[in-house]
Amino acid sequence: MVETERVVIEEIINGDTRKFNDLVSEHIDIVFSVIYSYLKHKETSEDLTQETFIKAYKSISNFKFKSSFKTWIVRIAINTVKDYFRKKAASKNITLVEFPDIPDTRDNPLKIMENTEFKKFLDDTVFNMPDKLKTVYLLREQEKYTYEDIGAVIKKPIGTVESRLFNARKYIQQKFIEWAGL
Amino acid sequence: MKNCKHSKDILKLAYNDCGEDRKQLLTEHLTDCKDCAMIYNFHKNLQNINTVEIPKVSESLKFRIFDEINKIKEQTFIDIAYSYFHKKFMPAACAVLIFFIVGALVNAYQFSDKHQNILPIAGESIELTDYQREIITNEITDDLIMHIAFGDR
Repeated sequence: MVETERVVIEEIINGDTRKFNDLVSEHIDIVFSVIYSYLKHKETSEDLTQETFIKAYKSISNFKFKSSFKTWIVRIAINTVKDYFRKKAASKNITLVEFPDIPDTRDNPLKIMENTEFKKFLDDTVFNMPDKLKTVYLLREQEKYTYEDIGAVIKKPIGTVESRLFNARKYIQQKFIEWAGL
Repeated sequence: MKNCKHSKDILKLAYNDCGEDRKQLLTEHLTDCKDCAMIYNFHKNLQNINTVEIPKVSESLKFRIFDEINKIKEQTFIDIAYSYFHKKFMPAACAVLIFFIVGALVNAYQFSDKHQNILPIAGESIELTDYQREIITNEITDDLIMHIAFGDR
């Protein structure tokens, strides 16, 4: 953990809560980005970003300096998204994702990847991926996290991160083969 | 599409996750196996595609969060005291109440007739009749001796 970050957090814990605004400014993009990757809905993602920072503010005294603030806030963001989906599932208001039509590219199957339909396919595949795989995949591919950082966020050893990442990539590959009829 | 025995390693190769010793062998394999080459290229292309296009976060969001945090800060002393009461005092009050209830029950048992009729003798609990208890607990008087000797019980 960067020493200045530790000082800022200690000051917040000791009562200088204005310093928390600096942490918001610094991490708002990453928190929004992680949440948006799950939801693909800007307004809801912004609401959950706000909720994430409020949760973090209320529980900053529980921050144990075992990880960076970024790792900690991303973990809160992912849990906030999970809570949101749990509540949504409870109200049985789930939207089913429809896969796009396959473009005709018989000569070279990978030409499909240049089409906008593939982008939609990929979005929907990642969106429908099991949560455990999705979290690891998005943190790695979207946010370019290291295996160590992902392990810190999901509180699992690197071996688990590697195996989940492998399974996530295999999942996308399998869905692509099915979708493209290869 | 056939399932090649190298397909698992090919996936790792595409993400530079396989050892140097395997790298050479797998790279050569790619020229021979069309399906593995397809998987390899698929994953290579995938890495160049942004999985999700992230829109720019609204400028107002930051200020909304600042406002919300200010509202929390401005929580009155009464709110804090009230929440402190709920968090700390209520469990303590419940514990004291339970302590009194348990104490009262233990007391009631000790002074109950049933308890007073039990006498521990040589590690055993002997249940006394009312008559036996009366003899044990009453002051030994002449009347009592006479009563024991000539009483009809």
